[in-house]
Amino acid sequence: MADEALGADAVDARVRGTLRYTIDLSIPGMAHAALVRSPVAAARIRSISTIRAASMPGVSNVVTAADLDGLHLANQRFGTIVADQPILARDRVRHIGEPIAMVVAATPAEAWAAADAVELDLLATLAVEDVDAALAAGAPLVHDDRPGNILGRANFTNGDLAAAERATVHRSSSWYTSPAAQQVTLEPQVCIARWTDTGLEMWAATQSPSRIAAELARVFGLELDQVRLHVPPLGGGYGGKNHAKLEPLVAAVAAITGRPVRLVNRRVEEFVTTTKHGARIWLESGVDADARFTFRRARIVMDGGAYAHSSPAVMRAAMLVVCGPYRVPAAEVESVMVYTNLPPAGSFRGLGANQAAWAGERQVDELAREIGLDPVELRRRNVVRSGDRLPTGERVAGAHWAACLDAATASLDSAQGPISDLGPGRRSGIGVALAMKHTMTPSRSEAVVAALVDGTVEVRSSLVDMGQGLPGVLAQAAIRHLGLTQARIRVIEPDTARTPFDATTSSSRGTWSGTTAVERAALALRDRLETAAAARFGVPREAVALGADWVVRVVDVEEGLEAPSLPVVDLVIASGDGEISGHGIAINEAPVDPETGTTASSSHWHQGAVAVRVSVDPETGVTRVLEAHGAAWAGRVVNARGARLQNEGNILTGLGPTLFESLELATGGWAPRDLLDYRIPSILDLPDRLETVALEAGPNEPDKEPTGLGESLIPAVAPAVAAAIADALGVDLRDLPLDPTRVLAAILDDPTLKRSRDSEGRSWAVPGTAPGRNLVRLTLTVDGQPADVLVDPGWSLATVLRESLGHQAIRQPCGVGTCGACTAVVDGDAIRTCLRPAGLTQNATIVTAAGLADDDPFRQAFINAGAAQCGFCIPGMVLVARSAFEREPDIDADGIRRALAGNLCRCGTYARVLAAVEAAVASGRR
Amino acid sequence: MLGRMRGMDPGGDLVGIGQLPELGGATSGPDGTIRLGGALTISRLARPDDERVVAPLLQAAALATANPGIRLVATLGGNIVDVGAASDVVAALIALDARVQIVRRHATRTVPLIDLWTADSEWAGDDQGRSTSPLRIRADEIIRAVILPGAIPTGWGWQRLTLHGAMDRSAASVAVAILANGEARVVLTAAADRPIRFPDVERLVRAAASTDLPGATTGSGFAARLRAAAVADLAAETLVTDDRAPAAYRRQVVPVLVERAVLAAFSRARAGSDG
Repeated sequence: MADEALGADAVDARVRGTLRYTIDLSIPGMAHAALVRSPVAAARIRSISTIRAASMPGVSNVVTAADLDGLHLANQRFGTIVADQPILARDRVRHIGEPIAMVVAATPAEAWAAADAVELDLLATLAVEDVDAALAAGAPLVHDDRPGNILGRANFTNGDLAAAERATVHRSSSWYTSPAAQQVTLEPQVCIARWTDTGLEMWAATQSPSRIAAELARVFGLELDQVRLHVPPLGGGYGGKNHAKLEPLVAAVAAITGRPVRLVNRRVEEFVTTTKHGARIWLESGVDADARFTFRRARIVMDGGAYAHSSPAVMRAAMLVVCGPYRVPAAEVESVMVYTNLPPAGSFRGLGANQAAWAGERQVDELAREIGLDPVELRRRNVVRSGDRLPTGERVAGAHWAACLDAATASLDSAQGPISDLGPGRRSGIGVALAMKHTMTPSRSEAVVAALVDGTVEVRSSLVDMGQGLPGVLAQAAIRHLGLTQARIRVIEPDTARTPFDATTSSSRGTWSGTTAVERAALALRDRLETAAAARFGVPREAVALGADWVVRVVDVEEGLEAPSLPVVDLVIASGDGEISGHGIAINEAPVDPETGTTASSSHWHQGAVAVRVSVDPETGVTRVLEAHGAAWAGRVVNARGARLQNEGNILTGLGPTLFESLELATGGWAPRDLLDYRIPSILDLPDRLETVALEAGPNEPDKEPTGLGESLIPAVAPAVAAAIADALGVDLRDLPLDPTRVLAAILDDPTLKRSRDSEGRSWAVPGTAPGRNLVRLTLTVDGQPADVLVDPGWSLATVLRESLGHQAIRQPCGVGTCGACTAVVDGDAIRTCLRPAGLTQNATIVTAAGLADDDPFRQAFINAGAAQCGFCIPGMVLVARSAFEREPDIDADGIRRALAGNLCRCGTYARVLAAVEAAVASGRR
Repeated sequence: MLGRMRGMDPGGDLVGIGQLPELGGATSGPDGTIRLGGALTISRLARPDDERVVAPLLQAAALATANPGIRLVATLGGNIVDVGAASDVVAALIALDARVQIVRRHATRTVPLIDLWTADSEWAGDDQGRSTSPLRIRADEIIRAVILPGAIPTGWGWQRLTLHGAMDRSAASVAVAILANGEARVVLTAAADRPIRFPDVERLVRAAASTDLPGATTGSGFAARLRAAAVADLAAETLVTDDRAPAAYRRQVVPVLVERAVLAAFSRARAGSDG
């Protein structure tokens, strides 16, 4: 049964700002690291001069690749799928931002100042900065052992293409492109490493604790049990924290320095650490006289950047779904993943399915218009139903795309009537698209559920909490078979010394695999408890039962006699082990086709449909998404709050790369960016109407297994919006993003209008805080407590509050006033503390989100509305909303949006935030 | 502070000048002129209860500047100097015929705001102080105040475009003010390295405002003439290609924005005179 209240504690901590993320941790004796990164895309490293940097204040070490030799590493390169990435660049660099040296100092500011003083002598070499350059004959090689710059190639053919061609009466073909984008987790990449007597211990913001631990063991030649990885909740993942990135380097430098070392990426560095793959896809489709697909043929070219990361998985993901969830009797798909001298591309929410659906679904609409058929009807006619074969040739057991399509279009057509924002000359259009994404198959999750001597139950899993509600879901899975109250259950954070193996918290797999593993572990625990009790009573195993009061009793006793009973705690004490535990394993096996003997590519499919209504200004190309309606297949909803957040977040996160996010430069190549240059959707980009539904199996239907919802809608967002623009204007856009310059260029058929970003990037030398110069005494009152601290008056107040005074609810994802996560109320005004020089705040009274009263109506409203996913941005939102209401007690929804316009949330919780603030405002007025 | 956060630290000490009384305040003089202190925050300009002193056109531009959190710390003077030709607020101020009072040690000068971008300004260079921006303003000067003339526009219009989501900086910002005597100012910012005025459009507006013919400012013919005049005015101008938009796109859409802003200004003027 779905439980709205599930995980309420986790929301509470996020709203208060008291949840501890990796970036909030501090280890005794910890030193701070800063990276020296390559300023060019390709170069030979002639020399690195560290003398000046090494003598700067606070600096203990400046580490280059040569210094790694002393560690006698088992492997010099890392990479989960292809080990091609050096820990530090040794003789050459392959992309802008590649780490060349690491400085370790007493404070982050000292480390940054010294990193700036490391002198590089680089001999720039020819770079290949897009796939055309990389694939050209005679192109410079990114890796000498990778001829032709090919990272990977794959293809499949299914069915009789020649026969399919003969049956074809209409065909359509085009190229479709999507540019690189960035995940923009508000908590950046961050990790801390220290070496102990038993091996390596790390704290890392990663989605894959077990995978990273294995990677570190491989690099350092350690046994798995010599690597211990702790993973606190993440401030956003979206695939960007899925593979090893900085962890091997930080671990190596900690070994060299002999101290714990912490590294935090600054925002500009995030853009050179991992990205979403740029892709171009050629797709051809044929239909017969009944508008049924005869064939689809695709060629996928993806830009993997300089190192493999998850590229092979992304390429496979795209291949599996590019022909869509349709009955396509003949299909041929070729794909190539290319190395270029760009930052490595990795996973991004939707993994490859986004790029693939952009081609596959876009073309369905073009076909429909060409043959004069309603695009929804064309989809209905071709969509796979349970038991049909997919374009790959495999049978799909549980196909629910038709139901998703019906639900999304019905929601769009609902009785509420369309939202219209039709200024002069505006045109309106609607569009629909389907989403299809595989899940990692097979993949393994393990869980341990342990009864402890204090009467509590501990659930151990290496699945990572990023606000998707996992701790609540796992607790509930344990409750289902143990009957305990939630208060007695504790789900611990991933700690590879205590929590068992888990493949990864990605691929939308956590809900199913976590639930299944924990349920099996709970059943195993129950069995062990009942078996132990039966032995004590000397009765058969069947004669006892565990009760919700955590007592095992003999059942079926004669009337009038008291049933012999034994508290679980007594059993645990008697065991002598301190605990009795059950172990559970969940593996999502791929079904084998009995006819062909082939194994399916995915145990199940993430399925969804998105319908939108847009308004387009044909004279400027400006597109507004007025309404978005999403329907995703859930099988069974385990956590209603989490399901809604995931569905809404899919659409909001999807709107960025659909409408404006791109890392492409006109000149080719790359430039570091920050959040002033690279925008993500704000609450002003939230559609006026956002409706989503998670579809569940009916009482008599199969497929009741819970299916993850993390990525079930996002692939459909871009093609749905493009279809709506085509509906409004009759132009077909095939290149993302659909920014106004491209829309207008298509309307006027004038490609010179298209945006072509210049190559001016940000400097690496961004001193969040320079080492203190003339320190002065600053007296503040923060959350009611007096504070007295020595600061450089030029430091930002954010730095003083967070770094000097330890107020972790003050966060600095952007450092340039764009995101609002550093908001505090200073002398009555909710301000961005990153833009306020500390020297101007003498004697100020400051309130952070953590300092609000327990019964603060705004805090309560956020908690009640479940308005927090990863939660990193939420404390700032609460303060800004409160302050807007104090200024303007009759504030309406529009005013709330305007007030929160500068508070960014990458999870896309804006609709919940808006609902929370409206509720708080309403209660405040009463 | 933002420059410092982005690694463009000029060095030296930061001096807080926000609390100096000479730089604060929004007051109106006996002749109707309005004096806005250089350290007035953009959020103060955006506050709706200040309509008496802040023209609604300026308010609209202020309300669209950056985000609410930045508006609380960003100042009028800072916006002119730092954002300059890319500023929404500057377009509105020039349309309102603003003058700026600039001080340095022992000297004060007051010049039309738009002159800060023109070569024939009375300030002819700098032999010692570094210039901190493309503006005709010296490193040792401070914008003390912005002065708006007493003549209140009867109509105003304002249009802006953002390309990377609603919170992006403008890719073009157009402000229009029409006075009772028909005099008009039509100003474009965020599209070139300096603010641009539209003399042909302004002449057309003056002519239309001075006629009593019904429909003189509402018909599609007038709209088309406005757009054509804007295209002609822009022909002589160099627009920029930058991170936000290519020059060709700006050249295409600015005449649309000009037409819409002027029509909105006339519409407000009519509503005002009817009421």
